[in-house]
Amino acid sequence: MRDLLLLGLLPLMLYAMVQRPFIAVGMWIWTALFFPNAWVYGIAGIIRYNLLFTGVAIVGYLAWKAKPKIEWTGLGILVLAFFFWTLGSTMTSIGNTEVSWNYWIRFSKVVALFVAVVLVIKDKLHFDFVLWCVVLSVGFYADLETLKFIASGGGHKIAGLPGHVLGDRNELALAFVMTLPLCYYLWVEYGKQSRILNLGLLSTMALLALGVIGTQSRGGFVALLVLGAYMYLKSDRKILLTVLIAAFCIGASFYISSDYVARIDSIASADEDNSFMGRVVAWKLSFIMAMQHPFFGGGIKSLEYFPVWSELSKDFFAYPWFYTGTALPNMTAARAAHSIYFQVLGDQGFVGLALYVACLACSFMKAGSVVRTARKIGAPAWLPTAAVMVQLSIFAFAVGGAALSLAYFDLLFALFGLVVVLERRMLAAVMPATTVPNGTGFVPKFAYDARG
Amino acid sequence: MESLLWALDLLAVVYLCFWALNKEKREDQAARDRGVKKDA
Repeated sequence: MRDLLLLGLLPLMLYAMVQRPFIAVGMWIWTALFFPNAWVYGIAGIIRYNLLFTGVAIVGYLAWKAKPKIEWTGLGILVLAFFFWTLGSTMTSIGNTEVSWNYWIRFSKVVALFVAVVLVIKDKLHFDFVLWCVVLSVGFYADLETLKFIASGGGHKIAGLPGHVLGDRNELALAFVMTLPLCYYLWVEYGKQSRILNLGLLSTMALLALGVIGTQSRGGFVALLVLGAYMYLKSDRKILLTVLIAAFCIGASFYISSDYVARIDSIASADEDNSFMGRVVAWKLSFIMAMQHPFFGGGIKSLEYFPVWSELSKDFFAYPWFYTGTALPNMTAARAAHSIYFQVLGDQGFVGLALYVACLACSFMKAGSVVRTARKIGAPAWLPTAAVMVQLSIFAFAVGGAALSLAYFDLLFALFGLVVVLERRMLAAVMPATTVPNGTGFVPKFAYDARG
Repeated sequence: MESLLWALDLLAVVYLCFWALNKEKREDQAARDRGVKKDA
């Protein structure tokens, strides 16, 4: 039945995508995060939707007669520099080269998505469409799984779809946290327009937050807490947020088990926690790999290649200041880096890490700069709100990713692209182009007839 | 229940595609009517 529905709706999706490249780019993100193949069991599972939508977006862009001017900012250059750096590290990989190349090809598709966003997305409608696609993929999954969590009285453990980029529950929790501010922006913008959208987006926000608890992810919980605090500080609607947070806390209290409370409490005594200290061991081995290969690092996924892991373990005591307590490397199986920073450090070396952190910092600061400039020039209220929410989403990733191996995440690079668009197209369009006299003085004349 | 929500999400995605397509077409038309050249 699902197969029939998906196959029946596919031509309609393709028709809309062929008509406008921005729809194809939005659907590219949707299919990357929604993973349609995991939901069907029959003939519809044969189609590679992500590849198909990517192809439509690329062909659509090439055939587009009135392409907008290409805008490359410092952030765009940093992302591309990081991408070329990963090529160097993959060519010199010390791990399983087949696996490294496989993951590099996957990452090249993520960077292609970034480029597509920068090339195609140009105004509020496009921007909002992309965010809707994120909410209808990650937000939908949160709705579905959290409803199961509620129906089971808090017993259902939320996990990602096997084989998906968000297959791990910790990574899924982080994606939920990142989607929260994007959903909030859509709620502010579209909630007023219809009761269904208002209730739908409000409940999706609540289910996203409760979903983080349902995953039992401690990293996700910390990211949610930090995001909540930061969002509160940044928000112009503190009374509304206070009411929402209080309502959420009261509602969530019914579904929080004593096991979960004990798990969260263990954050305070992390140095006694085997699971956490196992991550610290992986961080240290990533660091050792970077010290041994400081220029290009070990290559993508090299740490998870057991011969490399066991070789690095021989130097485990080389840096005694790197505290690992009594924990030792597992000598039966390799582990992932469990931190975006140590993952990139081990995979790409010190220069690669510097480029990656520069991408994060630059996108965060650029989004902040859009907010300040938009407020200063009296731009429409949606513009600073959009920039703040993208900034918060990147911030959530930077915090929550500290204990996760999700460095090459599609959504992060799509957000980088949106920051470029916000700065170079959407802000530029509302910047005063000229000043015109109106008899009482000079007032700015906007170059852009703001939508919404 | 899961399949129902999944189907609703899929329908919402298709609706979103056509809403965005129609909105952009209307805006293009309005821009043309105003005599402003706006890229498609």
